[in-house]
Formats: sequence, structure tokens, C-alpha cells
Amino acid sequence: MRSVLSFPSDDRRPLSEEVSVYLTVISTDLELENLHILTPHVMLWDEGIWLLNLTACLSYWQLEAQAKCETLSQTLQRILDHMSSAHSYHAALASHPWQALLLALQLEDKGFRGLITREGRIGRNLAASLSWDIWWRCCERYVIYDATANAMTTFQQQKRAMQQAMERLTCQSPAQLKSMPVAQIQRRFGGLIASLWDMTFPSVDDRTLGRTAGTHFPWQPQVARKPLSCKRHLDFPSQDWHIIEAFLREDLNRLCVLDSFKKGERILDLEWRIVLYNLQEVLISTLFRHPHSLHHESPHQRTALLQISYAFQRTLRALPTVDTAAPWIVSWELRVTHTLPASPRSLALFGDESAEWEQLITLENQLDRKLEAYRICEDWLPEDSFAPLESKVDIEDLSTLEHLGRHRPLFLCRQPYALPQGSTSHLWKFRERIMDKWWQQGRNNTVRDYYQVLREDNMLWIYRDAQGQCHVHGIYG
Amino acid sequence: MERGKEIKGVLTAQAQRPSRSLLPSGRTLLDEFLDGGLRWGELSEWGLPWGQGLRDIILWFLARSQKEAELPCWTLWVYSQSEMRVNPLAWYARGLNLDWLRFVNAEHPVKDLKPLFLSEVFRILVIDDDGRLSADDCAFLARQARRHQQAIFLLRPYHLSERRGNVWARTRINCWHDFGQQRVFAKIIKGHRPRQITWPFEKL
Repeated sequence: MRSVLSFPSDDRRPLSEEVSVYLTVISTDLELENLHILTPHVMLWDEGIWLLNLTACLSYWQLEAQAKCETLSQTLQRILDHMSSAHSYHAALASHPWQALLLALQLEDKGFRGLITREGRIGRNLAASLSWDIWWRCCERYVIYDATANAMTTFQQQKRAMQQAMERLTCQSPAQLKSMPVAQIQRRFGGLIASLWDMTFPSVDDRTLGRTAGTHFPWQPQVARKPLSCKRHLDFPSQDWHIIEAFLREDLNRLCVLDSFKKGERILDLEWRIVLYNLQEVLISTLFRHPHSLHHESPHQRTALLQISYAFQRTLRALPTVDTAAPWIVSWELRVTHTLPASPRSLALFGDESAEWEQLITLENQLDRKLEAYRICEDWLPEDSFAPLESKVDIEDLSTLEHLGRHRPLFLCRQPYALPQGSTSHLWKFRERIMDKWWQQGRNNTVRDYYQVLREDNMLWIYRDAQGQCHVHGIYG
Repeated sequence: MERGKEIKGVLTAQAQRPSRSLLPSGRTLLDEFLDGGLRWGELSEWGLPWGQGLRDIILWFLARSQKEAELPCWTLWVYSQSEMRVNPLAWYARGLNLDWLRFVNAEHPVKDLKPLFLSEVFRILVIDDDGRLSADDCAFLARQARRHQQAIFLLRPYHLSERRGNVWARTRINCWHDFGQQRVFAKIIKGHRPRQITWPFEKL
């Protein structure tokens, strides 16, 4: 009922398949080498303030959490406790780096230690009590990273204007104006302030917010070392995958014996830059769903070769300029772009009884498609009632949802479609009436009445909208 | 040395799996019908016309297997209908633990997901086929099921022919939904004494 009677904030919308998670850690005794255990994508925001992009390793940490019967936040907290003196850090988890930053600074300001999540009750309360001091401090730091010409001068002007306006309005905190549209902020105070405001109080759902983190946020990664690479020039051009595969296997094993590539270190992605017979260069990026150990699979390198072959096929299909036949390759460079260092033995990731978890990780790395895993979200709309399992950070109370799902079908249409005219449908059985999210952009409907309908020997799940139009939304498998 | 560690890992994992010879559904009528349940290490073939709500029957087996063991076994559902997606809330409401359940969409499961079938991670596999699996595919699946002691469900979107069989499936069952009577029927074609049962649809 809580979700029906109150208008949920945008933060509580479920995430799409592309899940972004950022962690901000404020600590004086943590170094880059420590934080690289969690992810290779680390940014030093300010002295003692680190931003970590966990997106690339999220599935891996979720599996680790599940293996230990923990939530993601508990697992990360355990690891941070181990790396730092217990609780001498302030950390925040959110789907956007800016929100994670603000939250961590508020934690530091309040003197709370440990890790909190933006989605949790404490995180939401802290976000609602954001102070102007912290916000301006964060904005000034942001502008330093902004590559736009005269960004600081522009910002100072806009800042003065906004501070004067807030004084006149006696606005004590940014949250008091959180419902102000970004367009109005932009009109009154300028584009730079508006974009910072939009990140703080997003007008889009988490899915879009997480995606824009990559494009609008001035991410400047700390590079631990030069990427590992090896080159090969073939004696003769080849288009035979068996020959290419054999050479690739050799190159992967050559990488394993490089001094700078430590045993136990795991790779997250590979770049295979090939040169074709016509001197065209093609970059083939190979991503691993979980950190993968080349040393462990030496010398056969089955997993890496499988993923490279999938990426190769995908790239060939996408390239319009390459002939339909397999291209002739003359040389290449194989490069390991991101790695995760070996975890300390004392952390005992996955534990001794971990054979099945390790096998699952290896298996997911060998497939050319993701295995779908879901968590339930506390939302009444069918398409919003679930999210990828990677987005689960805390334990959720799902007790209200079980009855709701009992009469719903096992399968949903990816996109509801209008009920076709023509054949008759019968046995209309009313199932539920729910409110549509009419306040969201692009949604005009207010209510949905769901029916279980028999049509041409198929049991469909159909809803009738406020205009009386019927849409097929699911099928009882 | 590495091979030794690998074997030790596999043996440790297998030793920790509960030794069960049958996979029951948890529904007395169906379990009696199947003489206790389905056998591990075998491929079972089900004729479940699409869109009749019959896949709930398979969920009984999955939910029961997750409840029985201290450590739930990994379950995979392979579906081939690309225009559909699973509705996790409905699966959860029918008693499944989503943490131990994975889904994957594949038009040609055996061809597209070969490493998956060669692995023993998933103890229960459900292949919701749209009619593309061949006899060779079934032979491969039966072999893998026997090797890894998995329970593999092959769901066909049509009624199974009693004349034209599948030598690789040890158990073959047809199910159908009589909308007029509002009852579900199940008929054994192979694997047990041929017989038929029925129950009200609302029991699903």
C-alpha cells in the first residue's frame, strides 16, 4: 500500500539491464593499490576522496555477496573494513558518481563512519538534508575537472547569482527546491549550475541517470600501470580461425609470463587490434563478465579464446567495409586493458567451499550472452516490478508483493501491443486494477485493468487502459 | 597440480550435493503419477502447448528442489521466444528463489550455449523449446544429464506423438488444458505405466 498511496521518488525506479554502481570512499589511509581490488576504474576526486566505478565488476561482487549470504553493501563494507582500519572511512554507494560523492561528504560531515547506500533509509534521509556548503564544495571541485574554457569564471558568476537568490528566498538547503525543473534553474542561473542541479535532483530515472554518468561526468581514471600487450606479425596472411586461434593462444600465454602480470591477477577486458590485408585496422574489444584469470587457464586459454571469437564474429557482422568472407589478417596487437589484482588471502573471497561459484563465474565468462538474473522491486507496475540482480545492494522487504504476483503470467511481452482485431476472445476474467505512472514523461494513461483472456487457445494477460483500448501484456506459459 | 585441484573442487562440490534419486514435484497426485518423481540423470520430455498456463507444472519441481535441499541447486531456464521476457515477480510468487535461478534466451540452445551444457553448474535445466531441437541435440542432452546427474526438462510447444518417439527421453508426458471443463490433464506416454490424471485448473 505504501507504494500506491505515496508518489515514489525517481530514485526508486528499477534499473535497466545496464546497471551502474559507484562507490565513493573518503579515507586517509587507503591507497590506489588497495582500491584496485574492487575495480580498475578509480578516480582521485580530491585528497583522500576516491571515486570507484564498480559497474564492470558488479556481477562478480554480487556473486561474492550471494556466496557469503550477504548483500552487496555488506560485502563491500567487509572488504573496506579489511583494507582500512575498521570504520575509519566514510563510503557511499549510488548509481551515479555525483550522488555517491555528495552522500559520502555528508557522512563525513555528520561524523558517521562505514558504508551507506543511496537507496537505503539513511541514505535517503541524508540526501534530503544536503547542505549548501557541501553542495558548493562539490560543485567547485567538479568545475576544476570541467574542460570547458573559462568554466571556473562562469561558475563563480552563476554561483554568486544563485547564492543571492537563495538568501532572498531563505532557502536553507538545496532539497527545499528539489522539485524545481532544471529548465528554470538553467534560465535563472545558467547551464553549468543547471547540469549540476540535474545530477543532484535528477529529472530522469535511474537507468538514464546511470548511463549519463559516462557522458556528462568528468571521469579521470587513475592508471595503475601501462596496459600489458604483445604483438604478432604473421608470416602469411590468414583467414583460418584455427590458425589464428593457435597463435592467439600462444600470445595469451606469452602475456602470462610477463613480469608485470602477477599470478592471481585477473583481467576484465582485452583489446585485439588486428591489421587486415588491405591495411585496415580493426579494434575488437573483448569484455569478460567476471574477472578472469589467464594464469589459471594456461596453456589452453579456452575461456579467453571463446570470448575473443564471439567478439570477432560480432565485429565482422557489424563492419560494412569488410568483405563477407572472413578477412585476411596480417598482424595484430593483443592488449590487456584492465585488470583486478589478486585479492589478499585473508579476504578469502568465495571461501574454500567455492567450487560451484568459481565454476559459475567461469561458465558465465564462456558464454556469448548474459545469463539473466533478477531481483524483485517493490513496485506495482509489472514492467517495473523487477530489476537485474546486480542492482541489489540491500535486503528488501518483499512481503507485500507475493500475492500480487500469484495471478500474473510467467512471461511478459517485451513491448505491450494492441489486441489484434479479428478472432474472438472469451473467458475474460478480471484480475487486478492498477494505477499507471501518469506523472512520468511519455505516459498518458492513468489506469490499467488487467484480465486473463482466452484467445485462440492462448491464455493472454491483457489490460484495458483509460481510453478503453486493450493491450496484450503477457502470456501464461 | 592444477588438474588435481580441479578434480578436488568438483568432487567437493558433488559430495556436498544432497544424494537424491528422485525429483518430486511436491504435489501428491503428480508424484504418485510419476511413482515418486522424476529421476535425476535423465532427460524428460513434456508436451506443453504454449499459452495454456501449463509451465506452472514444471515450476512445482523447481520450487520443491529449492526448498528440499539445505543449499538450493542452480536452475537454468532456457527460453526461445525472443519477443517475450520472463516476469520474475510471477516466478517468485510461485515459490521460486530467484537468487538461484537463471534465465537465458537462445533460439538454438545446444548450439548457442554449448559451454553451458558441458558444465555441471546447473543441476536442473529447463529447455523451453520452440520445436528446433533435433534428435542429435536430444542425444547430447541425455548424455550430459547422465554424466552430471542433472534433471533436464525438454518442453515442447505441442503434443508429443505417441507413435513417433524420442529414444533419448526416459520420461515423456503430454499435458493439456481443457478450457471448457477448466481442468488440466496429464498423460504418460513413456517411462512409467501409461495412465492419465486430471486436476482442476485452479490448483495450478
